[in-house]
Amino acid sequence: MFLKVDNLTAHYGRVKALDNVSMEAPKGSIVSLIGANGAGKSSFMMCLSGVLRPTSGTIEFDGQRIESAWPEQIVSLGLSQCPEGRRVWPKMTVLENLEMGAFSVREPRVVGERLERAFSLFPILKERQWQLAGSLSGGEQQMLAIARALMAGPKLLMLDEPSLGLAPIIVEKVMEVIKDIRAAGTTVILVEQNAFMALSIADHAYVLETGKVVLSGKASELLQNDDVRKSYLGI
Amino acid sequence: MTVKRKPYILLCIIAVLAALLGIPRLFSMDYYLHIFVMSEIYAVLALSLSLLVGFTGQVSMGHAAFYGMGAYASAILSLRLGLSFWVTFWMAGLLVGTVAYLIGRLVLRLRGHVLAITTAFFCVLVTVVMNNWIPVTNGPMGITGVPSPSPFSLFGVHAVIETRAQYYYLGLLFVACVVYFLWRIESSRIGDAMIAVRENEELAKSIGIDTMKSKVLAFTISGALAGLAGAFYAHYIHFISPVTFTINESINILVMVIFGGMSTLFGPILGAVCLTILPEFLRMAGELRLVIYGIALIVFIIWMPMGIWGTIQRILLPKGPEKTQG
Amino acid sequence: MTTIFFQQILNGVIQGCIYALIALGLSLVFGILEIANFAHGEFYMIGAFMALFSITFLGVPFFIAMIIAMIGMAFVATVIERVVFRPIVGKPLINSMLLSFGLSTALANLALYFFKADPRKITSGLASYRFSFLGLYITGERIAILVLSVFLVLLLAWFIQYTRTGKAMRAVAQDRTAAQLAGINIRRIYSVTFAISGALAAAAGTMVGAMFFVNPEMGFTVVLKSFVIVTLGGFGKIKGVIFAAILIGLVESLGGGFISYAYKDAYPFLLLILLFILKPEGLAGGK
Repeated sequence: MFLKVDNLTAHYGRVKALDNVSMEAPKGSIVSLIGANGAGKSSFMMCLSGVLRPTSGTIEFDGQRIESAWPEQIVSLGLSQCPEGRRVWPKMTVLENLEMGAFSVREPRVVGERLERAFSLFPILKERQWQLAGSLSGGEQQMLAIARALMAGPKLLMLDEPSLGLAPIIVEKVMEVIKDIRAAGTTVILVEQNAFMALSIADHAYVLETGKVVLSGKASELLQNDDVRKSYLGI
Repeated sequence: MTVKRKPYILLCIIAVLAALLGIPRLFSMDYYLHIFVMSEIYAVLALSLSLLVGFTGQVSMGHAAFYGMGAYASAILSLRLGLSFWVTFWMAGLLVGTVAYLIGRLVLRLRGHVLAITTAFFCVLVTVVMNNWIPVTNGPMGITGVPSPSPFSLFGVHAVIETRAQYYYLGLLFVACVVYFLWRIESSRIGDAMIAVRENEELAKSIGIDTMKSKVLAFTISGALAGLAGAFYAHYIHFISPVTFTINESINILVMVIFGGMSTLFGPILGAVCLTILPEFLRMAGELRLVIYGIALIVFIIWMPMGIWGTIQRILLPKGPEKTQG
Repeated sequence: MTTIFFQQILNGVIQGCIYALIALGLSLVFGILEIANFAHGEFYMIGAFMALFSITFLGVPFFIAMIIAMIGMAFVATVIERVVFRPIVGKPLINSMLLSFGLSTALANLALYFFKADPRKITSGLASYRFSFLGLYITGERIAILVLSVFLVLLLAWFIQYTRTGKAMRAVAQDRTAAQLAGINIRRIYSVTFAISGALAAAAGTMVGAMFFVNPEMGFTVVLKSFVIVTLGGFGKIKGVIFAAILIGLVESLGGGFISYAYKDAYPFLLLILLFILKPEGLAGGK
């Protein structure tokens, strides 16, 4: 198992955000996490990235225990997150945003290669590379955020709500990009409120409710699941 | 509160009251009584600041300015115009309250750290004026010979305020009145509005609360009370100088409020008493006293940012059921 | 009359450049760690003492003393950040205000205890060179200080804009979590920020120690003025802070020269209050 999370519990102050969450992600797969607002999806991602320290439980990534690691250590190990709301640095240029994404990379040659790859994946970024990130449209910022996360050369990429606030045509493009990323060998964890998108693209999926995993299985099966269809697909 | 606890609480209150009244008997030495009188003055200062900071959520670092203005006002009025303390006390309060109102209207449009720094500047400005406006304030040399409150007759009894014990009782009355006054305000609709401003100013505005009015009111009252405390101080020590009313003093008072617990009635009193008495023990350390004070403040902020009373409340009050993130 | 005017302008600009060094450090700490550091004035003071002792005990020349002070203070600032400020990063601002006030009291009084209150002077050896042009007087010392402070400010601006660490600092200031996710070690950025603020303050302290004097209480008024400058210039904005610093330097110089020297320290505060009256929505775009 490439990523194995065991009984993860996390708190924000006195509020319990995650309650004994367990999940797995095989190498090369796309795993989706769906759930309503505040179900704990982002908290889960932040725990994995080392920004939120869990109260208990373990996280094993590529054979290493990372639940008490520093965020930059986790990025160096090959786990990168594209956070919710894009969170690009508005007063820095597109190029600078990408450069900072590769902060953990020592060799300039590798950074240059990854930059080229980012530009070929998202040509619009190459066009706007000298522009301030804050002046880009929502869709362009999302591409920048994904590209930035890729600059770290991750073995596992996490995406938190990449479709939020985007026009459907851009969402399609993002989904294509995610499939390409997986095809290139990167494992993907996708958190989405847009359950349909999340389930149609994933291999496996988990449903989170108030910090707990309530349902899990093959994504295709969950798509047919009555409860899921009622609660998350609006059918 | 169950019926069983009521007589217990009452007993506690009586015990505390008896202790307070009996203090001059127990601690008859001048030095100790002086500390108690100063505690009373600081209690009023802390209580008045807590109305602004703890209750209405506006950080002010200018409290010592009002304290000082009250002291100077009362001293100057009684010396230049020959008026009795009993008159100048209220005049000082009125004067300082007016200044506080004007400054408040100006400054309270600002929020957060900008407000804090601006009030700090105001305090420094007042200090500079105190030091340089020699014809009125006598500059760094200060004003000496501020008279004691003049003797008066109450219920046929001739009363004098000369000894420290007498000042102590007067001060006790002062604190009690301030506590009562603030209690009435804080449990009234005015108090509700102030809490609303503290919790979420934008939300309060959208409900229709005139947040500026609440903030200015809190600022004015807290400033006026500080002015009264200053007047009391002037006629107690009989000497005032700018060095007592610097921004350091503002921060001392703020620390008392935070140490004791910001948004309760008794927290500031606790903070004032503790932080007036404890530093006296540090006098033994001599010149390093302030170094220890600084380090203690650092340690305190790192370890107990909720204040003593706030921490006590958290321990005594039962915790609600653990919420899961909704 | 006009010569006095321009002389005061010159003095004001030099004073402003020194203020810029101090205020920039404060602004960086505020922008990146979101901490108000009232003890920043003590960094300035300790730096001045370090330079003073380097000259008196090690016999090094002025510029070397300044470098020693900058490095020394950078180191001390890093330690202080780790021990005192790290625990309260992320907490409300009032915590850092009071904590740094406690630190300031402790440091200033410690210095008072060891070094006593008598003012001392840093000899730069350049004060004796006097120049005059267009009827204005300036000493070699002040020229050196002007050049040095401008150089340091430009160096800082270059560092923040073009170096990897500088960009990382900007990233942390704009979005700390995103910076963490990108693999930036924010704890190291905190340390670097404090080190830089300490170094710049020490440089300023050395300069003031040469132009005026060194004493344990010199930090107090300076830190308040720095807060005025940072408030005026906008927290975290380098260009704004530089302009504000020079403005304050000029206000002080002109006010002190033409209105009254006694109230010299009050002018920056008066200016700020005046500005708030005229522009109630706040200033310069705020944070």
